[in-house]
Amino acid sequence: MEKNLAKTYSPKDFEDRIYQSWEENKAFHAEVDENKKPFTIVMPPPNITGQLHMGHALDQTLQDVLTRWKRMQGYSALWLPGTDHASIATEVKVVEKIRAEEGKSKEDLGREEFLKRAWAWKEEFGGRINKQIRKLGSSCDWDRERFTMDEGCNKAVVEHFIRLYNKGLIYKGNRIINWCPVCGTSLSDAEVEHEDKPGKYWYFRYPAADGGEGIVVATSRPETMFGDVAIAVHPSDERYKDMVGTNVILPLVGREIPIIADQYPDPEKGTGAVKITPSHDPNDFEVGQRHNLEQLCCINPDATMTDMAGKYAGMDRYECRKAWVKDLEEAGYLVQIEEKVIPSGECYRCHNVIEPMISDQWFVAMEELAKPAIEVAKNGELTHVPDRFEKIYLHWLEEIRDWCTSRQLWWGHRIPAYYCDKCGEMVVAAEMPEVCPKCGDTHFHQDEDVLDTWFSSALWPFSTLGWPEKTKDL
Amino acid sequence: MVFSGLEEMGESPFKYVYVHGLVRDAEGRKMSKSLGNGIDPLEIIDQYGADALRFMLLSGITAGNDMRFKMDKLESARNFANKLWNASRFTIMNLQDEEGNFRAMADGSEGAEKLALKDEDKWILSTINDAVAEITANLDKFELSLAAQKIYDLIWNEFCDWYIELVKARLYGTDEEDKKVARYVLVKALKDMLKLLHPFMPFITEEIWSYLPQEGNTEAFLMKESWPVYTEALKFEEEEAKLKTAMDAIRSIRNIRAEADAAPSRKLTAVILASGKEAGFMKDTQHFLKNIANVQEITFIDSKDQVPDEVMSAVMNNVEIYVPLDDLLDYKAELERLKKEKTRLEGEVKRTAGKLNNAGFVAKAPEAVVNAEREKLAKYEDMLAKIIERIPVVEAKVK
Repeated sequence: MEKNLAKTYSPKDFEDRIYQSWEENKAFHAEVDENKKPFTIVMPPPNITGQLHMGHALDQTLQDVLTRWKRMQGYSALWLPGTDHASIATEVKVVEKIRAEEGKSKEDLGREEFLKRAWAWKEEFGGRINKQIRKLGSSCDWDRERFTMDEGCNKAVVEHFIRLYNKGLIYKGNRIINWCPVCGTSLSDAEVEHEDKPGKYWYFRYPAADGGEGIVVATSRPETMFGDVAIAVHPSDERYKDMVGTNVILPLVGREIPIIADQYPDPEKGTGAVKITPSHDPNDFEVGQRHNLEQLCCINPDATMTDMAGKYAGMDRYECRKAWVKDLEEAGYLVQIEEKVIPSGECYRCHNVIEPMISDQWFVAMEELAKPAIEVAKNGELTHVPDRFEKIYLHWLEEIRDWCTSRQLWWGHRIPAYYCDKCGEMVVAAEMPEVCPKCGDTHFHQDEDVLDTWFSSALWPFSTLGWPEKTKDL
Repeated sequence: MVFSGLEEMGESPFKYVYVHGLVRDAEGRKMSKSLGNGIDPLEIIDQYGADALRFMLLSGITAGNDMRFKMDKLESARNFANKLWNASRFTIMNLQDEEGNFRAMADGSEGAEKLALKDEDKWILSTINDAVAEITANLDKFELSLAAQKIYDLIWNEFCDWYIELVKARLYGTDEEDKKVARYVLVKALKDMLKLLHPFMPFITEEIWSYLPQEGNTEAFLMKESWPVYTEALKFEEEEAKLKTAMDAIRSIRNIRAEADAAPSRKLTAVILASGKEAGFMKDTQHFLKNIANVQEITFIDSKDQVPDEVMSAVMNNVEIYVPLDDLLDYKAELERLKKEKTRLEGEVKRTAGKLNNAGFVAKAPEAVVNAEREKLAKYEDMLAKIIERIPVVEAKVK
């Protein structure tokens, strides 16, 4: 009797059977073993919205080759799997589903009901990618499977938030952020996709307050002019030296704004003079901070114009742009139009153009946190393969701005900050406080916002091993 | 993750960050919904198996760079799996009796090197041993693609194309003790290679493993086996060189056959003029020429004078093989082949000499490299001289 392999190689006939047998025998399970060196990969968690694509297949294969090899080399090899709740990505899908099936918005349902639907969605689709990962042969320890919004991860998120807050490394403030007017939420720098697109620069004359010729500046977003509070020139720029300190008039609006000297404008670019709109441009925001300038907001969160825009108030940003440019041209303020490739920032989810905006948000102060992360790459504790990526990593950390981590969404870890109903005092705590430390009132409401998905995935390598508890896995 | 880890745990959460690129389509475009050029991995798995997909994804990639998804690469990965499957099936078949029980095997538990190994056994064990060192070094440096390529070459070329062919005659032979050794080496070689391939192709290797004879616990998974370790005891340099010479000779005879359009079934005779240590190698391995290259009779000669008339020839390093083809031979073809070979060797001589005449190269290149070039030149000149000598002889026949 033949006890041999099948006559022809037909992987379908045995791949699933073998995987099942590995899994049933807990062949992938890893425990701390005093006699073995540990080797661990924490799976970069795929989104629960995800369907396995070729990129995952490569990513999974690389991790599995290394894990299987190290396991055979005698390491206690753990490959810890899990999925990411993917705050905005999932919320967008659930909102779409509710709209399609019930014709309702998330506001119609209310927060609680919406979250119920989101969890149901997670139960239904969240496991799909894990089944697909099994087809690839990934030898991850399913007994340890985690989810970035499970109880343990939530505990870790709250703990980490409170620790950073108490150290002053998390703060709430009005700062410039990336705003997606369609998704209706803030976005971190990493969530904005930058693409160069054909666009225009409009050159406008801002006449001098004393009746003089004034100054010409170029802008790709004329609708933000209503928020202009200054014109900046480089201190070494001879052309404008005598004008610094004088005022010009915002065309048609009639408001006087000063010409200031700052390192930011590049004398080689455009006319060398730039308009400063702290409310709608991150660089201008910084200039505004340095010169203590006013912040005038002329665009609403839904991308319509505010009352600052006068007769254009209520118009969509692009409609306003058209009408405004036409009016300026007719009034003789338009000097020149330049066709140019313009860097455009888009929402990584809905691909609409983001609007930099000043908004009351939660920020992680990055300067202090980035220092040791730079250090470990420089001293070799952290190695990039290939090493040219270390440069990108260092550049990112060295140039990093404070991280806007709050999102105006419902699906995610809700920010553990509570406000006294009576006096508005804010308390950051794991649980809703019972008594207001300031006025003694006993009624609180929690911050409406959630944390972005990266706040929890940043903790993934240790939250999955039990942190903040002190476990032996850690 | 890094700064959060440092903040809360006081250390970096990981030591290495491996950066991989995108999987692009065959034309190098990003796979996207709007282009409709995405390829569903699940469909590929369904058609080709997960192992082929995995192997394909790793072949030719380097960390940090994008790769292209090409169907021919996928097919070549599947063919590789197929080749391994058939070779394993053949091996298992030859290890079992009519009842499907494994026949007796030598006991190598004290170290394979303690057994009465033949040259080809030492060669394959040594070759695998070398590969173990190289593949492990590649993986240590995250060079997954290089490691995959080496294991591919090892299984396809060395094991399937050569070792199985070399060992066949012994499996059907009459020396019972030697049969046991041959079976043992076959199994050991296959097992070691399955271990090396397992991280890349986990399913097929596990499936084959389950059919191989196991010591002790037969339920054990391959995935729980130990990774092979390089050992000095299995380093057999002499046998590696010897088998290389034997394989070159077999290839030469196959080429001669192909050029003369002589069927593989036609029995040939060969006259061999060899010098140096290659002379010994050829004598030790002549039975392979008989078994594999279907050479019926081999005559060793000591000088050119003994070369018979009317031969086709192959020139290797220190070895000349002459195959008298009598009436089969097309002298015109032989002459053409010699002329072609002459052109090729002249080119090699010119190229090598050119390098050595380049003062910059000689001055700047490491001495070992320069010496290697000098040796090459001497070898080519020697081979060329022999061809030039032979051409008028054949020419005379043509007229």
